[in-house]
Order: sequence, then structure tokens, then C-alpha cells
Amino acid sequence: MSTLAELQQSLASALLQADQLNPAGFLGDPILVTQRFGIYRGNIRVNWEKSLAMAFPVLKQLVGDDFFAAMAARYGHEIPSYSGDLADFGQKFPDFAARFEPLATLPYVADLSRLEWAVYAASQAADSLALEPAALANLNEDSLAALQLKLRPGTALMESNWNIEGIWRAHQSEQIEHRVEIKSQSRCMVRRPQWRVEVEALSKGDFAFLGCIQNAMFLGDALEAASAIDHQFDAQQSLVKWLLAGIFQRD
Amino acid sequence: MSPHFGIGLRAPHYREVLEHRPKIDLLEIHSENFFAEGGWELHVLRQLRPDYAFSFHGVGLAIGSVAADHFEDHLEQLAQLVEQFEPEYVSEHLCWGSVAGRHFNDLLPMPLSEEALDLVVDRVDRVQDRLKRSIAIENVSTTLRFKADCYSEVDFLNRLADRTGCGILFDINNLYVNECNHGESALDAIEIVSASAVTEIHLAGHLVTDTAVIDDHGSEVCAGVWTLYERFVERHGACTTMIEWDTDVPALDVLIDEMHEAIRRTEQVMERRRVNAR
Repeated sequence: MSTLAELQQSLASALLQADQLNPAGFLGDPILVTQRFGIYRGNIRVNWEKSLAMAFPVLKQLVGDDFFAAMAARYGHEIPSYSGDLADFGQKFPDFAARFEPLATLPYVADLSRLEWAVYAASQAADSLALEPAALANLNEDSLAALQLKLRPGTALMESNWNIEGIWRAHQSEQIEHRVEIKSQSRCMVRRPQWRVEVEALSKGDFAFLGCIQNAMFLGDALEAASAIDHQFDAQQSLVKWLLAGIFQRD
Repeated sequence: MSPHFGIGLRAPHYREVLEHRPKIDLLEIHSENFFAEGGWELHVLRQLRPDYAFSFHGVGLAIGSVAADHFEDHLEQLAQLVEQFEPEYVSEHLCWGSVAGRHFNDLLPMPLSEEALDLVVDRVDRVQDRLKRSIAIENVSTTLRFKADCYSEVDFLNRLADRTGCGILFDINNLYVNECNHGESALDAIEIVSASAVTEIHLAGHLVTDTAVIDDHGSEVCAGVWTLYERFVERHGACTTMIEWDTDVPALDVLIDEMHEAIRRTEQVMERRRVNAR
């Protein structure tokens, strides 16, 4: 290994573990050098925290600033950033939250943070246009059933035993609504119609239908599968509703 | 090219700049903030492109890292962004930031050795080959200097510019901060910098703490930095200048006022130069 490589490797260890620093390589008083080196250690932690706070604002509100900062520090040590762009840094944070012991008393945070990551990812997803309902107007029943529609980039379907959609929504305005029933199943869709990401609750049937579309099933099969799962599901009404909402991608 | 005067465009000001299109020559953005596939931020940039010159300032390429796991991917993303927007200026920092398997996402202090110079020359060559254009490398502020350094930072940058044809992004606030932290003379640096290589100047505020002076870009440009800036203009002439503000970002007008202060001081010094030349 070259001198420079060795030096960078040893400084990297010292950035993660305070007792690894050898101040002798730097100019100046060793005590001051150690304090000044600590500034970089602090910067790195702040960058981890800031980047995660951008993606997980609701989780941060729920656990509080200090707890969140400590959690970010643990995460950053355990799961390295691999990229010069911190945008992807939080990808494994929901899994980390799920097994982060101090959070065991809040069992819904794992799913909630999955929802938050989906919202964040949607904000960065490729721009796209919605399939116009008129594009399907002249198709007969058979060709309609044989269509393979695509959900637009950034769209995500989430299902949880906790009311993550309700919790997320309660934190979207300045006036946080505290009375949210958290122990109820929820299904929702994350999507970005233009620039703003939206989260909307889904019925069991719609969730099944859109899941089938996401799995590249033919439209006819997807509608049929949803009807079998949810007897309240009205295939035609649902298709029209989602076409008008613009959730499918224009080729 | 006559010098541009500009500000760092940060998220809190997107809407105001979009709606009012204030008179500014040049907007600087952090390249990595626009690496996404799509979304609002890229939309903002596309909207502003016709009205402003752009400076794409990178904070994540870490050109001085020996381990380069991230380098090619990062460069590719930068290249795509540069191809899409064709910015007038592209720059990176003289620093390192990663080892095998981990990126620290910070501007870590670069050892100023011969080995480091060879490495950075190679990396800058690779960047310029891929981007098919020259880039500028910025002097950084540090709280630490290595005993084994064989160059001053400006000497290092002069040699880098000479060997690669790259430009120098001369951050006057960083010179000031390093003078406070290491006793290095900022005036000497201004005296010896290869002025023909300097493509941009950065001005910003800093934070004085008990341990060190930190370039937090969180306040107005201080009197000492203005004096150094005037000295640069007096010695080498007017140069494209950017005001950076990243911490506790104030109202847009505060940044624009700082930019006008840079213009005013440049004009004053240039006028003095003309009078003295007669």
C-alpha cells in the first residue's frame, strides 16, 4: 500500500473511532490537533443526520431530535455511505429502524419509515407523463383486457398492520393531529403526479388490482384477481377512477 | 470572457428566483443535489437555464481519495448532468473523502505531498477527459496540516493547473480561515497563485470557535476577507466571483447585496488601477 493510501486508511479509522487517532502526523499541539480532528468527526455525523432527516421527517418528529441524531450516528457507523451523493444513504434505514432495539416499543416505525423512504424516492424518480384516458377509448373489451399498463415511475404500494398512512398524514401540517388510531391495517399508494408526492389510502380491492398491474399482469386478469379478493371491488369503476387520476404511464 | 458575479442557489430560494428572476449573472449549485433521475429540483434548473449562467460545484467526487470505488459512477453522473445543462463553470475541491467501502461525504484535508499531486493530476485528467472540458479545483479550508507536506496548497494547485490545464477556484475565505488556523499567509498565496488559471473566486462567511476557525458559510463576508479580495483584484484584475451561504441561509436579498458589494469593490479597485496606470 502506498504512503497516501495508508494515511487515508488510518485517518478513516480515526474518524470512526476516536482512540485511533495518532496526532503526531499533524503540525501543532497534539491536544489541539485531537480537538480539531474531532470537528471532522462531528461534520460527518451532522451530514448523516441531515441527509436522513430529509428522507424521514415524520420519524424524526416522532422520536425527537436527540434520539434521531443518536440513531443516525449508529446507522452511519453500521451502514456505510458508498456514494459521494448522500441521497441514497437512507435506503437501508427502514430495516435498521425495524431492528433498532430502543425503538421496540414503537412497532409501527419500521413500516412508517418504509413509507417515508417511498415518498422520498418518488420525489427523485424519473419525470413521466400520465396515460390519457382517451388513449383507451376505442379499444374493444378483448384488447382492453390484453393491455399491460405500467404504473408511473416512483409509484409504490404499501401495506401495514399499522395505520402508517394515517400517522404520516397527521404529520403533514403544522398542526399535528395527535388523535390517530394507530392499530388498524392500512394500504396506500405513494405517487408523484407532477412535482409533489402524494400518499392516498387504498381499498383492499384497489390495492390488489394495482399490485397485479405492478407485477405486469394483463389488465383483464388484474381486474379479475382484485374482484376475487374483494367482493366490493367494482372493476369498471376502479379502472375509470385510476385512469382519470393519471396513475398509469404514457409510453 | 468578462467576469460574472453570482450567488450560490440553495433550496430555500428556488421559488423566489423562479418567480422573480433577479438580475444575477451566475448561479452556483452543488452538482450532487441534481443527480436524481427526475423531480422538482431538476425542473427548477431547467426553468432557470435560459436566464442564468451556471456554475456546477461538486462536493462528492473526492478527487484525492486513493480508493476510488465511487469515482467512475460519480463521474458518469456528473458527466450526464454537465451534458444536459452545459454549465459555464464546473469545479471540485482539493480534498479526499473515501476509503474502500465507505464514503465520508466530507471535504477531508489533503496531504500536500508529491504522491498526492501525482494522484490528483491523474484524477483531474480523467475528469477532464470524460467531461471533454476543463474544470477548476478549489483550495479548501482545513483545521489540520500534515507535517510531511512538501507544498503549500497554492503551490500544489499551481502545479496541478500547470500539469493538467485545469483552472483554480480561489476561495478567499478559505485562505483567510487557513491563515487563522495555520498561520499561513493569505497575502502570499494571493501573490503567488497562477492568476491566469484562476477562473472563479469564492467569498463567504466563517465561524470563529475556541478550537479553530470553520468555514461554515453562515454569515456575511468579513472585513478581512474583503481586504484580501481587493488585494487579489488589484494584483491580478477582475475575476468571476460567487457569494456562498449554506448555513442559516438568509433572505435572497442579503446574498444579492453581498454580490453587489463584490461588484462595487471590484469596480473601485479596477478604477484605481486605471488611474495608477496613467
